[in-house]
Amino acid sequence: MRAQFRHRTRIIFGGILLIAIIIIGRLYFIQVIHGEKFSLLADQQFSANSSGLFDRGTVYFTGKDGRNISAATLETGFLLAINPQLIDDPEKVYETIFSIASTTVDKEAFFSATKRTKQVHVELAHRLPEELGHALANENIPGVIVLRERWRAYPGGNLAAQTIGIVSYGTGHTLAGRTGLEAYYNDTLERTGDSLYKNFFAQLFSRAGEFLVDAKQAREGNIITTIDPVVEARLMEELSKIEELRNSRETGGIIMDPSTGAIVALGSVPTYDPNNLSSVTPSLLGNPLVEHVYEFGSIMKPLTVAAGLDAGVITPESTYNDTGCIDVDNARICNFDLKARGVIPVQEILSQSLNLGVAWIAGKLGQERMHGYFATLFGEKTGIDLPSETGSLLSNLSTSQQVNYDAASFGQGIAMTPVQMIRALGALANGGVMVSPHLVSAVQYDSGIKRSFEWNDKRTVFGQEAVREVSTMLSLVADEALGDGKYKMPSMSFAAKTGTAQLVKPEGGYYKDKYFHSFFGYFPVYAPRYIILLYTYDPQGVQYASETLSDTYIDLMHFLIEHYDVAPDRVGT
Amino acid sequence: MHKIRTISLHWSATTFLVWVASILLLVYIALISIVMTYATLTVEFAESVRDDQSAVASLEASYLEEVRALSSVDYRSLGFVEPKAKVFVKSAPVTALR
Repeated sequence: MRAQFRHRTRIIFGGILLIAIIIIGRLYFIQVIHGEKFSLLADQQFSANSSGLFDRGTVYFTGKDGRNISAATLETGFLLAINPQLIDDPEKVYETIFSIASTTVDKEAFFSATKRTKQVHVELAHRLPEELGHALANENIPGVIVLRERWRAYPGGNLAAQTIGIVSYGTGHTLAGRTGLEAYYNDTLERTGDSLYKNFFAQLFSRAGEFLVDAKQAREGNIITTIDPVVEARLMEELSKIEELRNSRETGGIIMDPSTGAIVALGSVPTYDPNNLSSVTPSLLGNPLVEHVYEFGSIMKPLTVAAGLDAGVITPESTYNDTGCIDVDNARICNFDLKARGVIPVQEILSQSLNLGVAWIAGKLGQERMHGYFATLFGEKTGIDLPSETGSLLSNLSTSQQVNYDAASFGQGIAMTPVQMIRALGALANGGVMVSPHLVSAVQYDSGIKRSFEWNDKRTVFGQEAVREVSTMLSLVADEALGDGKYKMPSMSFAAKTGTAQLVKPEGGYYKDKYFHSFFGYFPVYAPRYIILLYTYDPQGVQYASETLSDTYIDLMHFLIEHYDVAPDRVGT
Repeated sequence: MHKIRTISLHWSATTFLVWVASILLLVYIALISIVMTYATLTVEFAESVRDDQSAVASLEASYLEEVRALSSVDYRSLGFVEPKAKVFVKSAPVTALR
């Protein structure tokens, strides 16, 4: 009797064990071996699945008081869909929906959807606000599905849009950062989306280590940028005004702390609103500040003068005989007004923006030494934390024709990105040291840990004495030459230089009547807080940069002095 | 005697295995319950954080819209005029360099 009981117990126990092994084996096959396949099938069956689970880190602006304000975040709302197989009376259902959300669903689209009876899920409207979603859900209409959904939102609209970037599907099935910081920091911003509901068995059996400590999840966090939204708004406003007034093809600007490389504002117009990508021209999605190269013209001259002073081939007291035009390698180089100045000092090269003056310095530097300075300034990409950064075009400085070096000395024949240009000019405002322009100061991990970024890649290009002398000269340019002295500030010194370059024809050579205007300046001159670079491409009805960008620069400088309480460095008169 | 010893050994082994299986089953069920409860709470909490984040985003959008509107204000249109004379402090500030 006892033996029989024992035998039966063993059979039952064995049976249970066998069933358990079969179930566990089946689960293993479904969740581990074929897990990804089923997950993909589920996502494809209902688009709501993927959008409903969408999660992503936040990109923050940083105000002057250190507070973070979202530049890219998530918004939550509702998705309205129907199951046509469960709708018996479409008229009645539509009337109920219409009574709650009159403008949400197009009548024609609704009735067209109800006819798709082979489908169980037809989406009618996205991004419904909270109150509408709750009201529709509370009606419990058979066949009407109200699902929560989340999407990427940009509270600042077009503020730094090309820099913040966008999230889209691209060519794949997953939403990911495609441009700007969204793309550059995608690994930090994207979320795995795996929930404990989904893959408990998979985690337990196949990835026990990750179940406890997931290395990918440990890297997930939020991005904190150096961009000040108030300054950014002001910069974009000023750029838009230029664009509107001058009908330029493109206008851009960057404001940077020259001692750290932290960019507090940057942008270009035309731009776009990342909250509404349906009508955006794809070419606008890129960032001209790092992807386009330009011949900047005369704002290159202070760098040539600094190179001359640093190499010891000139001093601030040096003079040269300006003849108005010179012939070099069968080409003719002239001052902007073709006029001769006679024997004049170096200061006048910058004050009057004389091409022959910097060509004279280029000659004294020699080709090899000049190539060395320009290769250091522009030869490498800046390493800014933005995707698709392009390099400069310096091939003219690899030839032996002196005319190319002369042209480069006043910013023609060589081209670089605006970010490369402000990095190089920043050396004049930072004791001759180039810093790394950057946009992100820290990552705030989901674990709560905040890691600050160190941007320590610094390169010394000029000696301190050389840049101090150039700063003094540029201060005089700002006080006396710019607008014939009308912009001089009694309480603050500032450096400034304009640049006007002829635009390159696609077939070679230069247009006589199309220009690229640029402007740079920094303040206070001997302990600069900010450096500003502005440019406008092909402005209409105006020839010189002093006419298009001077007022904008001065307005921005006054604004920054006020906004950041920059202390005066001059005695009022 | 031999029979008694055999019965005792088998009975204790079966009992032991049944106990172990029961405990393992209970632990397994408890583990799943804990994990599912934890997952539910985590997801609900995350949803609630995201909902709040969404509400904050709306406020931030309003704030940035205000900032933009302020940036584009032409103060002359509000009746403000350029000062007729500007007077600056005569003494050198601490930070003055020249």
